[in-house]
Amino acid sequence: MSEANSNTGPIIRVNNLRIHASASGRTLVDGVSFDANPGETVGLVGESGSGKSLTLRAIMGLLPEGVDLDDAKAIAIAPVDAAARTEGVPLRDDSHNPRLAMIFQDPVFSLDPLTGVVKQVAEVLRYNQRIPSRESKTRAADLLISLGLPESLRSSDRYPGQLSGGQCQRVGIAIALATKPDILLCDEPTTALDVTVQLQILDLLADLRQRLGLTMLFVTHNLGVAARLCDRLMVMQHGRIVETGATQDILNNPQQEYTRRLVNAILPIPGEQDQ
Amino acid sequence: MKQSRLPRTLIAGIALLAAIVLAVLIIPLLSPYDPTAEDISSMLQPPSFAHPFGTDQLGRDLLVRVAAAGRVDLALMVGVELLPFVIGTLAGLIAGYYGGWPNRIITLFSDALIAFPFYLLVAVVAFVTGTGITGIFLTFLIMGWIIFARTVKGATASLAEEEWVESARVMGFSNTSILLRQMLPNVLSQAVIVLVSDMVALLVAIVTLGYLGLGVTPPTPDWGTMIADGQSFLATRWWVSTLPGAAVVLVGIALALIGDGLNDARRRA
Amino acid sequence: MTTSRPAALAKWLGGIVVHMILVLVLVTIGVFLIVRLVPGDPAQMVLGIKARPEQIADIHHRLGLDQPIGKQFTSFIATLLTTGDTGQSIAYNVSSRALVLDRLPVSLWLICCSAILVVAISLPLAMTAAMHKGSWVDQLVRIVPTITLGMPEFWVGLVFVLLFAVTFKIFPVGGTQPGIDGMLYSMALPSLTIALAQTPFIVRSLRTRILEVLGADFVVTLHAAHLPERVIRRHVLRNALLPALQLYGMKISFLVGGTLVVEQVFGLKGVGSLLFGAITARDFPLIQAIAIYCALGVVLISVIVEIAGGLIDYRVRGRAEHASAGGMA
Repeated sequence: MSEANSNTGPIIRVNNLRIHASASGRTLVDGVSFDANPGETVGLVGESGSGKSLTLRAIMGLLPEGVDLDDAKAIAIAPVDAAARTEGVPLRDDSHNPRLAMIFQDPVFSLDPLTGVVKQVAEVLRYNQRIPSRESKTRAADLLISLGLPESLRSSDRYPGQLSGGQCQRVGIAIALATKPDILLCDEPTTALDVTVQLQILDLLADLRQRLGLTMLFVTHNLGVAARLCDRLMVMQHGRIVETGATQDILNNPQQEYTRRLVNAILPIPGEQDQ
Repeated sequence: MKQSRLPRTLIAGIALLAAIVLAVLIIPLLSPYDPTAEDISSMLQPPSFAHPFGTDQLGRDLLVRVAAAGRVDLALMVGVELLPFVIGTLAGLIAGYYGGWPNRIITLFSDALIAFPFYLLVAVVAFVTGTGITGIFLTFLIMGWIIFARTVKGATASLAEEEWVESARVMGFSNTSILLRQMLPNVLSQAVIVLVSDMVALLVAIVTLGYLGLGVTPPTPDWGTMIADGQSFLATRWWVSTLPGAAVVLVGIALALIGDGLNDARRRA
Repeated sequence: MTTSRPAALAKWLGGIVVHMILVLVLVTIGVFLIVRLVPGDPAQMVLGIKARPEQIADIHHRLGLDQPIGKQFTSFIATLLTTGDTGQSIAYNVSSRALVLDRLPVSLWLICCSAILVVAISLPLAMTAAMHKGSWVDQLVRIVPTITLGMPEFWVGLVFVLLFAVTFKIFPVGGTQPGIDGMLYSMALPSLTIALAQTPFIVRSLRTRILEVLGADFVVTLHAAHLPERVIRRHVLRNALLPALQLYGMKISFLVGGTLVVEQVFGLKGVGSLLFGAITARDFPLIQAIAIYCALGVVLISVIVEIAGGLIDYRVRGRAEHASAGGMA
């Protein structure tokens, strides 16, 4: 993919992605192909074991052990115009792709239990952006508070175990944002949370997407959650994409029996009726 | 077809142990020397063709002595471990299956015993039971069962929660029958793995007691007393202490390999 | 959850202390019974078969063995609690407690040096092995315990003396030298001996813990946040260290036991040489004192380790509560 069309073409291009278990050779993701355009939010929905989380992990470059990618070239991330990025703090170069960030399903366990949350965010700021170590603490606290964590973090740091699940997920989002991402990968970020907290997190994500112009890939088994945030949906089953289309089309007129079952399984989210 | 799936470490360990046992049995038969025959004219000779391991401070051939001591120590190792193994396994089965006070007693006993440094305990029990082979036997009878009881207790307790146990009870099997026919075969493999590694610790303990003068008493040959004998000549006659010790290490390696191999085999199964 | 935290903490601490006291009570009863379990008359064993009846009666009286067993036990406990003593040593004819305290510094030096050495060797080795699975360090870490398992500590000590004191003359053959530098110099070989026996297993289990932590969810977060390897390593190590500390606390009695034996090899005048001397002399008041003080030391160290771990990591507290609840129930 050439630099020239990077501003117009898709930012993520997945072409015939295949993932198999290293030991048994069993195919887990079977020829998944899709694009995502800059600023778009694409949902990957399906039952557990449909390969949606693996697809996301593969894009992040963090496949779990015991699972192999057939061809790394199946995933292409287009470079973005660095000048178009918001704010002027330069990024440190890293061997990882610096423009992707990820938030996870289990917010409590996805944070280091023995490090204070401000410290964790500060660390990420320090190593991803050229921010001196003293300033990074204040900046981290700023970021956390702007994401809805209590002011008291400024004076005393907290361990993840001392926070609620929703608060931990906000810390997880802060860590992701601290890397200055262009693309945010969300792996069932609300599944482990209470319903009301789910809504708050979804609203927060929607708000951030708008303010920061993030491209988002959103993995969930819950079509209701996906409907709230995503422009476009891809329905996965047994490692394949079985149906794809605009969110409303899929919800109103599902083509596949499998999709229809997912649609029927939607539980009303409290507060949804206001939308 | 099962043969080829045995872990290599297991095969190597068994081969090494077999070689050691064979050597220990055969060398005293073939050697022209008697393990207790003193010969002042050939004291502390370095290893040579006539004496491959050299001789000790009383002119006894070390090779034949190392082998003779091996017979004693290996026999002790196996003999001493048998009873604690059986007692501990049964106690662990009962405590793990029934829970309640047998479980409480085993937990408290093992915690109290763990609070004692091993050699302190061994020394104190040896003080009570007296030195010599009887002392060793009693010492490890008192202490040895606990490790098996703990292991088997844990394994049994987790097995007892499984569904088939309840269904076996419903089907009218007696508790004894469930314990011995169903549980025992399942937990035995773990107990045997513990047995193998515990035997190494036991051998080291027997040898250490001998070294401290609390174990096998002369004139019965024993690796520990042989090492102690050589300590005073260590600077000039290295072979007297190091070679019996090397024999202990070799047995240790063989048993450790068997233990690792059994562990691998169990994990594969 | 926040309101119940101090209560939970107190309950957790209380559980540990109660368990410790139970263990110590059992230990004390055991130590008291040892002498009474000895087949035959303990006074006879000390004095030999040619002892005159009045000599035996004298020893009986001095040790209180002529009293009823209940009375013996209460006075044993009373003396132990008030003076920390278990009676006059038969061989030395002075307070057993004084003898133990006199020999304690050398043993404590040896235990501390060994413990530090074990940690200094284990940490980098385990970390390297776990981070580079299958590398030569990893292979080494997995093979060495197989070889050292059957090595008697005293024999390793002798081999070290032969190599480093006799052949290369780097370290002294035995004994202690004055001053802190002299002490460190004298402790080098003995503590290396103990460390060689302890390290392989610590490294092996630490490696397993590190591998567990490496597979934890939060490590994925750290990778996803593009943190450099060395920073991630720091997080992993801190998380792996706590369970390892717990394990080390449990192994502390092996360290103490090793110290007792290794003192003999290097002619160190510590508690170990006192113990084995006392056994040969059948000096049971002294044996009782050594046993109780050793057990007390081991129990105290493990309790400190447990509390330290629990205070740093709230998860340990939860686990400990479960464990002690299971143990007591």
